[in-house]
Amino acid sequence: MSEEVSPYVTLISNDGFQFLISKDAALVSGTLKGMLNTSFQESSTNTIKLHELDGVLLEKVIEYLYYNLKYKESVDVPEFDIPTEMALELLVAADFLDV
Amino acid sequence: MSRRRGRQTETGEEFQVQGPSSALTSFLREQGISAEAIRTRYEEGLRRQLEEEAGGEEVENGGSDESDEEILEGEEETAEIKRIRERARAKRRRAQREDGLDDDEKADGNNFCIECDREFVISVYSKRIEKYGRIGYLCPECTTNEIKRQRLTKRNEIEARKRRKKVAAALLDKQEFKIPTLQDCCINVISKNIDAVDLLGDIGVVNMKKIGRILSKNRSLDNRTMALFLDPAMREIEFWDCSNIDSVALNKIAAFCPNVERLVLNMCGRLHKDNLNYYAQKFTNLQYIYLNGAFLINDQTWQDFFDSPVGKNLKGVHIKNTHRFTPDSLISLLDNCGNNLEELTLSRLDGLTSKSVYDLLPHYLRSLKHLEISYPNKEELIDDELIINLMGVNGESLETLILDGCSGLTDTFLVSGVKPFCPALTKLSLVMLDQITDSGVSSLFNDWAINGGLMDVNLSRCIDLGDDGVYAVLEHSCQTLVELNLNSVKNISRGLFKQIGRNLRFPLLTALDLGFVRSCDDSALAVISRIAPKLTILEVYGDNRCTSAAIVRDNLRIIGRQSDSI
Amino acid sequence: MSNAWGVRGRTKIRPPKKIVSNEEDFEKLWVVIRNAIKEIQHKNASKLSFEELYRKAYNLVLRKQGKMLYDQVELTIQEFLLQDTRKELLESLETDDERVFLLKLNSVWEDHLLSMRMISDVLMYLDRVYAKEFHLPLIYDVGLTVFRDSVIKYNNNEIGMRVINIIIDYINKSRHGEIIDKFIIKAIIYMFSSLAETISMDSSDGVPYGENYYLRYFEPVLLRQSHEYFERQANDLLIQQSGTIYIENAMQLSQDEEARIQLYLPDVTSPKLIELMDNDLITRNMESIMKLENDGLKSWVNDNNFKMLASLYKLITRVDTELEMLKRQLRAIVLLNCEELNTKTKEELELLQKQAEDQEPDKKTKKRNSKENATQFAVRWIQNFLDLKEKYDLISKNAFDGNPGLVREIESSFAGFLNLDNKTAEYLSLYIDDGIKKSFKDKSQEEVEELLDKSIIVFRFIKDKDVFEKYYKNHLARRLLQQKTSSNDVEMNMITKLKQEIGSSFTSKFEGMFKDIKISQDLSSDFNVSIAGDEEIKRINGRKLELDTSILTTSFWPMPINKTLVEVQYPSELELLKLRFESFYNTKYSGRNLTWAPNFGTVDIRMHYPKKSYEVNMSTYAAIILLSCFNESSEKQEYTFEEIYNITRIPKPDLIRHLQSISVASRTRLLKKTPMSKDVNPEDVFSVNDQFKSPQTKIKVLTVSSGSKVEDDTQRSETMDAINKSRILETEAAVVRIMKARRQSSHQELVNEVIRQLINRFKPQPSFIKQRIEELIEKEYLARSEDARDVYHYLA
Repeated sequence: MSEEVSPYVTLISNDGFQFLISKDAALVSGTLKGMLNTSFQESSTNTIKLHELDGVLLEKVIEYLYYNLKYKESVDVPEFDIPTEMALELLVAADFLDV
Repeated sequence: MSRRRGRQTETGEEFQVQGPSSALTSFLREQGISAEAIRTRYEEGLRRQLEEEAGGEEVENGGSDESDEEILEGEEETAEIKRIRERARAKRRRAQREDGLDDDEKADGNNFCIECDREFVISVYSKRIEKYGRIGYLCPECTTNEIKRQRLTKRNEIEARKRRKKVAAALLDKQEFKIPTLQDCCINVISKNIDAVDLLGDIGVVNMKKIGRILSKNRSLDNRTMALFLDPAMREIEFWDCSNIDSVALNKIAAFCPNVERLVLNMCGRLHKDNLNYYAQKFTNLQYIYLNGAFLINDQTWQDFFDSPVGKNLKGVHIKNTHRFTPDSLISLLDNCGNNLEELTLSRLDGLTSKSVYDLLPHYLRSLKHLEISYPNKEELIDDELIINLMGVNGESLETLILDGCSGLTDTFLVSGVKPFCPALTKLSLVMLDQITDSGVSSLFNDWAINGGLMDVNLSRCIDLGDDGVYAVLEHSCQTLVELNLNSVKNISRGLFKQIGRNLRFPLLTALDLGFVRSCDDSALAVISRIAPKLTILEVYGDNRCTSAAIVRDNLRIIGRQSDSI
Repeated sequence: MSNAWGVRGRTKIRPPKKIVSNEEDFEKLWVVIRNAIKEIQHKNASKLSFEELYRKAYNLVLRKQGKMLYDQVELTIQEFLLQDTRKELLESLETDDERVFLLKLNSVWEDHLLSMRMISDVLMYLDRVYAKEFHLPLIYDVGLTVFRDSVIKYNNNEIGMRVINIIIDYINKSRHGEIIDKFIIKAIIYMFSSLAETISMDSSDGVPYGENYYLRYFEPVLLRQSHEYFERQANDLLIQQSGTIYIENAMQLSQDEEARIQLYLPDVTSPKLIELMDNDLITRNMESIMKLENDGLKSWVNDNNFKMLASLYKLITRVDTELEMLKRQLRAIVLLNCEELNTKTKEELELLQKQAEDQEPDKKTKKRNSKENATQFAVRWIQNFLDLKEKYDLISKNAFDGNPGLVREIESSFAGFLNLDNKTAEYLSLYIDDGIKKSFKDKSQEEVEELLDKSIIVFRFIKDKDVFEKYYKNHLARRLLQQKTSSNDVEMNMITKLKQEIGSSFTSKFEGMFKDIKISQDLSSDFNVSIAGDEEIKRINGRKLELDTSILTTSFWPMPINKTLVEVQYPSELELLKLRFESFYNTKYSGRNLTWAPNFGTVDIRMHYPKKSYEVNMSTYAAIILLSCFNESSEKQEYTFEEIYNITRIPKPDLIRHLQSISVASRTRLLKKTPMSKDVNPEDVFSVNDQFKSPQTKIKVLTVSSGSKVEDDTQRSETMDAINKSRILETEAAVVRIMKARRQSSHQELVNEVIRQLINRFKPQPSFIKQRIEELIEKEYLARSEDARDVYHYLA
């Protein structure tokens, strides 16, 4: 709740795509949470470069982050849509990000 | 998913498949709830389950690896354990302080040990306890023993807590909807489209296992898909439905995963002797093998397998559902690896018709942690003496004892076998032992000081049990019980519920089955709800005195009333 | 390195990229992580990229190189701790003072925790996947273990033991009053508590394994040292042989230690430490302290030193909720106090007497009748007992917090003492008697109430209540008959209280006695009205007479009907009154037998002397003597004793006494006696003393021995005989009652039931009951069953 902390973080995919997302969404991921809460480089710059994910995957992950944030408390949750082709890669990414 | 046997019991009832999962599923099916929703929920539940445990316990009855329990689940757990321990110790100490000093035992100089009556000199370390109504001090030896005993109890409680969490999580997910993780979503999609997968890649062992389980559940595990799971780095292979995997493919397992230490092949009717022989060559690190339904394997093959270096090295052997496992096979097993076995399951092996071969067991088995002998060909084959001898040798280490369907057993083995020898026992299953009487069970559990408390007790179909026996069980293990099954113990009366309501508390009880216990009514439900705060599932199938009017906690799910729905 | 897969079929799921594992690659990845760890340990983490490190660890795990990574991480952490941290600490031990060293230790500990947090965050994947799969401890916990082994326990627990000793030393200093840095101690102890040790079932060095370093190494030393400290303190205090000093100091030590424990010791230790402390300070020595003559329990009780007693109580309740030690000692003191009652009371009386003499030295030393003295003794004795009881009540309330166990013990000590013999029953009755007769007169209603209640307190203690009943009955009869009661209300009040205690069977006789008196009063006034105009009486006496009778229903009153008294000859005056009254009575009640008792009662006679007339009140016997022998109408002037006896037929012992009262007693010599000796012989001659003079107009003739006095031994044994007789009857009645109802009973049951029924009156011994049963069998009320020797059945 300090004024210095920005409510947004930047995620950069390995192919250069930048995504600005809310911190709350980022914290859904255990890995991202660790990155932001420990005093390494990332937490001071509020930017995380993810070498394991390309833009398409990262975008999907981010979509999930928001989905999770939105429906976390509710009972009636719609299915999260995943295009079949990317399912395995997305699984690897999800495993990496603990999400 | 164990195979249903059409065999009748003495009472003419068909064997029922036990366990909340199966009952639930069939109930769901009856209710015509959409298969899609079931599957989705199921898979999510499984995913969560698999995340939290390394053993395949919840999905299948029996054959699980108790050593999985030892995981430290994270920092919170450690601190929590610490707190529990410290609190319990302080409480114990405080309780001891409340006791007054016995006149006869002076606080200085020589003293007589209140336990063994030896003379000794009191020191700062001498423990003061209350025993036999008096208060006094223990000599150093007895002090050590007492501390050991208390340690064991404490440890049991901690273990029970851990177990409870797992069970609770698993159960909870079956009813409550939790938002799926991304991994689960992906696994979902992958499993549905498994045909489109050629390679699983580096998704991590845990996720692999999950996918494997799901595929087993929806019968998608076949020659092609199973290959996805093969990797030289795999240490554990679990295929819960091998009915669609042919013998050639089964060989691939050994070919591609020679480092496997633990192999589970369920419904493996297509397992051929060539496979087993091949396994005997390739699986050099194999320690635990679980084969359910391997009816193609004949006696000679079994023997060859056990004779091999692989066979000699085994620590856990679980064989179920084949009539071709003969006495000679068993002898070969015992000869080769009997001494080192930690786990042994012999379930529904109709080929074992000789009592004398069963009687060999105590001569070989020395270090068992898990023992299951269930549904023997004839009930006379398994008698009290056998079990008593087994307990005598293995009791110290034994944690799980399953004797379902061994209806030839009587109270004697409980009193002379289990009671004196089994301090470490945490899971006991005695389904269908109809000769077990009330007084036998009471004798076992009353004053069973060496045992710190059971976590999982299944007494379903022990129809001779009544209030006294059940109360004795509950009183002994109330602090550590996580799962309890009293299905069809119909002699339980209303009085029992009143009694436990007054005297006992079940801080860790998570799953309870009171199906076909007629005396269970709404007030019993209310009592249970109050005294078992962590109880999540309570099954009351066939108890028509339980109605929707029962007043229970919100987070306690009661299943099986006519008014219940999922 | 990614594989290229073409899309086959509808939708193909793209497989994830596969990484080929390679030994060399391990080094490349590892070295980055290794350096990072070092930087973190040197507090230089901010320049590092979390993602990079996390990713590298992730890759290593995926490549199944988790084990190597895990092991190497552990080694790296260890390196730093061994070489940097430990060295730093050892140097500090040499050069810095202890406190600085501890601060440094704490600081490296906290730094280490911080580093571990960061390292473990970065290695999250290793934890989540590898450690979990192989059931290994998490990296963070590994860090703790390494710290424990490389810093604290390294080289035979070198640093660890130094730290322990320093801290123990500080604690000892604090015990001796020095100010120490509590916070650092608390912090170090917390550190020790965080370092887990494995739970093991073996212990080769005799000390059970604790679950953390604190429990395993620190606590035992602490407990041992503390024990030595407290033992020493206790001994030092004990030497001083003063209960006050010991207790006050022990309490202080106790409080200080508890405060200390709160400040920096973990919860797990406090019960152990407290137990140890209580043991050394209290349990060991409390008994000897209490027994100290000059400054121990006895003197505190005697001096009513509530403060010390309360402190003592507080201390003892810490270790012994049953208070066995205290109870024993207290009992002894109570009994001692009780035994002192006798001497104390005697001394008091002597003092009072001396005071009275001092005040009026002129008055002739009123030689107090020894019996009167004895009565006063009894009264004072009870009073002293009540005071003693009150003393203990106050002690129980103010010092012992009303502890029921102690109260019970005291009460039972009292009961034990009071029931040693039956004197208490007698004393109590005398006390009440005295009160009702004299002292209650000048007390307010509340005070009277209080005194009666106190009497009941003593009454409760008495076991053989029937003894008391006997005495009370006697004394009550005397009071009623001699009209010495100061207030009927008080009498009834007492009876009501007794009834409440024991039930009405006890008191019914008393109430009967009362009723008799009341009815008699009414009867008397009715009678007097009826003879007011009686001519014949007027004629014989020259005036009208009044008769106040007391008609006693025999079963209520303790006096037996003495048939010999029927023989007494009454003078005509009295005879007429008698007849009149008898006929009057018969009109009121029919079928009743009246027997006159001239041995009781008084007569007022107007005596005319030449110079003066007197109104003299004398006993009935004395009146009979005078009226029969020495009235105007008497034949002779002188009569011998024998002659008087023949005329009056008053029993000789009484005759002697009453003659003495009117001829020997100095103020009431109405008769002349020849010879003038004190004793009376048959040939002695009596005549009217016409020289009789008295300053008063109204005179009362006192008869020897008419008050309630303490029994002497013969009397007492007579009383007891009577009581025993009635006990036999009561027991037999009880047995018959029970057997009649039950028809059959075993011996034991019968005995129990008899005891149960009689317990309110007295406690019969089983052997006594057995005797009664035997007698009843002889009398054929019961018979033994043929089948079982110890079963009886009732014979109708």
